[in-house]
Amino acid sequence: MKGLIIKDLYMAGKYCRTNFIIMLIFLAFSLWQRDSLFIAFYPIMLSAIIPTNLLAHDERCLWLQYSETLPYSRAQIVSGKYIVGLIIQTAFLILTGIVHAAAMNIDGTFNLASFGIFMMLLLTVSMISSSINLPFMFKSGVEKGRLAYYVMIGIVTGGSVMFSSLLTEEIQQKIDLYGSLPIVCLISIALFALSWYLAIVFYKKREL
Amino acid sequence: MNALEIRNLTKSFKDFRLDNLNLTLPSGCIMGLIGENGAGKSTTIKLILDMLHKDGGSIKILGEDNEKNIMLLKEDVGVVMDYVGLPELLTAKQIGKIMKNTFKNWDQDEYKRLLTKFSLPENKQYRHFSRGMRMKLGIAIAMSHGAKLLLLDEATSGLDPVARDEVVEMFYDFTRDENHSILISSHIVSDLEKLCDYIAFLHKGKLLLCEEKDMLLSKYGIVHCTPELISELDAASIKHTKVTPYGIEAIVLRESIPEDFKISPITIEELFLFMVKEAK
Repeated sequence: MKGLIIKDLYMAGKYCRTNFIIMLIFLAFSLWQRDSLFIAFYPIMLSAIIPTNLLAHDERCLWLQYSETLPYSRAQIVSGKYIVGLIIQTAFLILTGIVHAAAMNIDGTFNLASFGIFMMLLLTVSMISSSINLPFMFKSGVEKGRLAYYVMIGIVTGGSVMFSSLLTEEIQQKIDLYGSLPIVCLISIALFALSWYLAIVFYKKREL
Repeated sequence: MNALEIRNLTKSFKDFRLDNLNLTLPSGCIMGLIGENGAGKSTTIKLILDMLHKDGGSIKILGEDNEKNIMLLKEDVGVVMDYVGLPELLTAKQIGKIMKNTFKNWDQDEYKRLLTKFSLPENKQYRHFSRGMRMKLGIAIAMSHGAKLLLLDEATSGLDPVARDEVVEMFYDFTRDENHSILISSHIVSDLEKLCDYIAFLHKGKLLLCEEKDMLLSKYGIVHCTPELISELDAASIKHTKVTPYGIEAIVLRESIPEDFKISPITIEELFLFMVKEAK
């Protein structure tokens, strides 16, 4: 599987340069706008869609068909994408953590609990962003997979709006949101594992 | 041992059916798969590689069931399809590194030798390669990991006649080792005629024949004569007739033709066209 990972890292270096530049710009910008979680989350979400971009390029150049002639199983082909995604996301999470911790230290605002919450939020966003689209794309190809992804995003967004409208102040006081964050974080990791498993199951059934 | 054994292979699509295909390719031999577009050649190769799931039948590659451990089997199988789907922005050098980490028996020196032989630049991006150069790179990859069986689907298409001749010669050399075999499909029947030991004709998903090439060429011949002379021949020995401005041209079974008739050799292409017309 090493060959698949090397190939995807080469491709990420060639095709995703713009993503990396935008991610770094947003990372720098997030240091000045530390109250805005969106600015901190955005580059993480961008890093999470890199495997999807790579899969789209694979499909366009017929690599998926070509890789069937190489000694790789379908499970390895799927896992290659997830591992490359993990490598890039982990690297960016660590970079974001180091940069933010250093900035907090410089202005003397570093607090381990707040920093821990910030990192758990980043990890949760990272895991969820990369979990949603890959199984659809491995099942039906990038074009149809994107459509399914948008439908899914619509359902998730609609669901979140409904959920927050039900979340009255009284309920919020009863739930310890920060205390439940590690559980949410674990659920997002489980979701990522489920996504990986489903992508393998779907891709094994697909005819190329 | 047989390099490839296909028994009662069946696969149905909405508008096409590969019907009970039986093929045997002995080790050390080259088999040519001839058929018009949509005859089922690529489908057969995809089924061998388990890219498509078969509806029925069995496929054995180098004595092993293709569904049991296709990953390991692919170490011993070199494949060139009619497209070579490599990433457009990578160079032949980078592709070599990927393959080095893909095949256990990757031979980097052989790969470099083939790149030089085919005049393929190591540091030029794949997107700048012509169709012929892409096919050559695909062939270089397929022949650099110690494969015992080559599956070639229109691998010579897009090559100029000189390069094609060179590649055909390489395939021929490959099978000098009695453990090496090739299944090749091509529209360029003259290449197959030059190269193959066995010929299989596919038409609309059905196998019309699969025989040794020399046997076929010695079995059939062409007679050029007048309509009066042709009527003297046994009707069962005449397989096909065509009226030309110079008389009648007939494909005949050599063994039933009287010795005083002059029989010209038949080409595989002529035989294929005749079989397809007969099948219609």
